[in-house]
Amino acid sequence: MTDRKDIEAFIGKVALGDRAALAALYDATSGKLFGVCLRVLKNRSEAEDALQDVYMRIWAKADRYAVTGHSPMTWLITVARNLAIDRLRARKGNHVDLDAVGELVEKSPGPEAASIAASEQRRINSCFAELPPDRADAVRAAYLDGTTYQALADRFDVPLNTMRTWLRRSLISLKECLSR
Amino acid sequence: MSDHQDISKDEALAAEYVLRLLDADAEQAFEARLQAEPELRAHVQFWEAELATLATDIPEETPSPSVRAKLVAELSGEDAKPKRGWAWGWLTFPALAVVAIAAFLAFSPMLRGPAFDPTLHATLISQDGALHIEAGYAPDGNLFKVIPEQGSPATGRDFELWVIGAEAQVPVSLGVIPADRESLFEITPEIAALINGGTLAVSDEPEGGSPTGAPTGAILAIDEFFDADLFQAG
Repeated sequence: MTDRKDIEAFIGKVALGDRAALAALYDATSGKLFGVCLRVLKNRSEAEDALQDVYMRIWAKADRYAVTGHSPMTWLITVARNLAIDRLRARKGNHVDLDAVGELVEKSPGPEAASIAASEQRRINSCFAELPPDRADAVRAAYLDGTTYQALADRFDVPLNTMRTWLRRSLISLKECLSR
Repeated sequence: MSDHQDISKDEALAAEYVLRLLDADAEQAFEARLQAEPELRAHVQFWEAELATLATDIPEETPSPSVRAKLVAELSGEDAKPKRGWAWGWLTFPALAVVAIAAFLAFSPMLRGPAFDPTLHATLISQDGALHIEAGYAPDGNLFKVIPEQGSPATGRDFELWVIGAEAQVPVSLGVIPADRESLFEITPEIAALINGGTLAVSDEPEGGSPTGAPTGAILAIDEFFDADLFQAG
């Protein structure tokens, strides 16, 4: 098991241009980061391309890791998710992937809610639990699936501006809860 | 009161930015503000950290070993300093599998001669299609065959082939290959052991090959070795 210190040490060496350290970092973290990319892109081959971008980005930016103030996994997950979303948004014509939407609708609030319930110890989950369930789902979908405002509005069958207002209020409530 | 509202507004805006809910213009405007406003950066950092915990529930998935092999090949082709020219790299490797299989199907009878019976293949095609090299490995005699189908190196340059084992950290050179004719050569058992599950790459090198033992020029094409029998009829 690779712990936080190991991962931080790998990132430190990667910042110095140590290729073996990047390979070691890949071995320790690619499963998680691939999971993140796959969740956003819902296509293995695209997610694999994204994963390669992710580690090249880590290679190029490892020297800036320290100034982000993040834990190593937070940084890696943030990089992976952002690059996967870049790819999602760059898809030709930025079309709505009907399969993905279907999967999204089916998934919620079933397995997602169940997996959250299994880890209630985490603060963010208890704060999510204070939100109306559909709004909590909307914030989760935006983060985990990279769902846009328009797609969220379609999914919850409300006007775009209503969705914006909902979500902003939910985010402010979340922030208040998380800062308690 | 209006101060409080502004703070809430910025907090929500930072969250929208982290969630990637802003449209391109709003995102750009927000990033411009980020440069100048440390408080805004603190909001972003807060949301990045909090929301990343949502990813805890995402199950780990195993990517194809080719991702790791490409990454290793890519990095070895770089200058020792990691900050130079990484952007060209991954652009060179979109999935060419479909093209590769089609090329292989057309090509396979050629490698299947009586004297040379390859079990593993790789098809190297550059992103622009200008370079196309077929390669096959026959365990009987540790023979490696290279057929340049298309493309030649620039004047004063050579093509060099590399094998990257599935678990390897560095590519191993198969040497410079002639671009104008087929070549058939014996490889060492150590290199042969890397081929199954490994990856083949071709790089652009100075005449005579890489002076360092690692790729020094651009990686022009890359392919995983695949089982030749998978594509045999029947």
